[in-house]
Amino acid sequence: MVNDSDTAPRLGEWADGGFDETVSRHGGTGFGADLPDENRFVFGVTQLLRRRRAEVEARGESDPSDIAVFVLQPKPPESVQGVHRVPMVDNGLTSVSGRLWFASAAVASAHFIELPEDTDDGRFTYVAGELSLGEQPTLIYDPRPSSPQLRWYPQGLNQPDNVESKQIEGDVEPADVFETIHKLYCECLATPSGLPSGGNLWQNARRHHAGDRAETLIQSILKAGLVLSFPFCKVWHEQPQVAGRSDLAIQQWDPMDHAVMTQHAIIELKVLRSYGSQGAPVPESNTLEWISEGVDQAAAYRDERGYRWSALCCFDMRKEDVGDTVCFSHVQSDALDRNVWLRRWFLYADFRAYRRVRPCS
Amino acid sequence: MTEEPQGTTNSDGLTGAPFDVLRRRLRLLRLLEGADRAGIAPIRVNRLHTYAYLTNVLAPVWDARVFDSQLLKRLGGPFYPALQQDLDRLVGLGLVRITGLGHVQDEGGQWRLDGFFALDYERAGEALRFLGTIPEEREMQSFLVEVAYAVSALSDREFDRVHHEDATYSDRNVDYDNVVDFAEWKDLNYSANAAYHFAEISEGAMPSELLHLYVRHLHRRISGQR
Repeated sequence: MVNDSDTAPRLGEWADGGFDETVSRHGGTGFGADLPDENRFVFGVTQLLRRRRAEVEARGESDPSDIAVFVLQPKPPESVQGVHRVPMVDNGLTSVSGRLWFASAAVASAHFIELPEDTDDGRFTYVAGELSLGEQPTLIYDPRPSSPQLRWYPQGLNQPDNVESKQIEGDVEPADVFETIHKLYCECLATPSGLPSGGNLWQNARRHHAGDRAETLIQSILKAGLVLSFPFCKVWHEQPQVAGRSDLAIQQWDPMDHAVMTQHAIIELKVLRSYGSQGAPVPESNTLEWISEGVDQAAAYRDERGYRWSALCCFDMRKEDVGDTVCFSHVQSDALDRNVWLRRWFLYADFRAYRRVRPCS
Repeated sequence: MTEEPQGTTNSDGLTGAPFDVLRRRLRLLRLLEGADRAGIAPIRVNRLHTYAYLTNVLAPVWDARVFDSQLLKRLGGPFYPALQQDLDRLVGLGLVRITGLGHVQDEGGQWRLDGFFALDYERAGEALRFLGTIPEEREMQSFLVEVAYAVSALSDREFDRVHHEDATYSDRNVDYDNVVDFAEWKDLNYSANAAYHFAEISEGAMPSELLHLYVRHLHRRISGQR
């Protein structure tokens, strides 16, 4: 109940409350509006599956052991017959097995048709060939193995070899997170040409002038990538805390109660520069202080909310690659004492320097 | 006939009634695009008005401009005469398709035109692509699509009953045939206030999550879970 006399009038007829129950039951829906549609879709379907599995377990029931196919497309083609709409499909009350699902990126509702009784190959052909959906990003959930599988076809079923395995539940360990960040680094950050859709980390790469928005761009790339790697988790950016705002935070909520959270990790991001965007030199002492502050923040944010672990991840846009040991020498002991992981990736301002080192080979 | 509103000055600097009409019609195309992307198109006419209403009342949550902060409270639910007029015109221009045309009697006993509306992408696609090149329009479209995603979670029956439970529209202090006015300065936008209340109890929730929580709360109220 919302009883506060100052609050009640401004809520009109809704002053009788029930907000907490809504958050508990539906919290997390609508997450990811800032993500690419594909990443949001993977997150949405994974959360739907988590909820369904929890509902079935809570009821002591079981779903038919059959695959479910999810296509990123809000509705089936008009020619398809036998379509059912399921509003609020993410509440876990509807079995997904043996069905071909169509959903938007948010996966708030969906349409389905029954998959034909056939072999896996036959169903592949049915979706990609007969329904001409082979170009659409697709997820296939397979509950038949002892450990259920979720396979992601980002380019659709017409490219069956372009497939990634996704976890529906799991842990979020430092090594796995760093592996994801390294992959993103190799794909998008290592050289000036990697960023998608016209983004640019450099104001003037030739002169090593880092752009003003470098941190924001790196943060959004990492957030999107981490959601795709750990779709059973919510990845926050700029989560407000007493000690400040954490750059990235990874949480996993109980599928039956959004209020019950596992706090996995805090990732503090720092961009290290030789020059600002207009060419002003950044003193080395500032960089050292910046790194020290990062260790401090990573520890403080983790401890404040009881996260399992934290890390300082530096993206080094300086002129020279001094190496991890030199870069972190002044904080190594402090980070060890405070259980903060230290990682660094060097961003190459030109391709020749990158080719000499080949950090992604 | 609906009287055309007087021209107003807007942030884009375009003034006068013709620009208002153009702006309204482009917004309507955007609403229909949102419905399509959320999988709820073709959308029944009363639901389109309800969707438009929710984008107005929840706009502050997204820090977006409220397009219409006033409407007449009708027993049958939100209805914007100007939007309806534009819809008819866009059908006439071939930019919007209508199916299931007929007449129905609403809860207030009024007969009204009924039908399901959807964009004709072949004809409207170019206008939408052009709008997509304007950053402000892209941001507005993100909001309209997000509201469509949120309301797509409602069953058809729930969608038709939104006005009975919406925090602003259901305000008992406003009688039917009076004006529901949620202009910013009046602090009577209970819907936006409720979304903000979700922000207080769901720390760090993004605006998109607040929109969805608002609609999920509507769902709970419509189904009798208070």
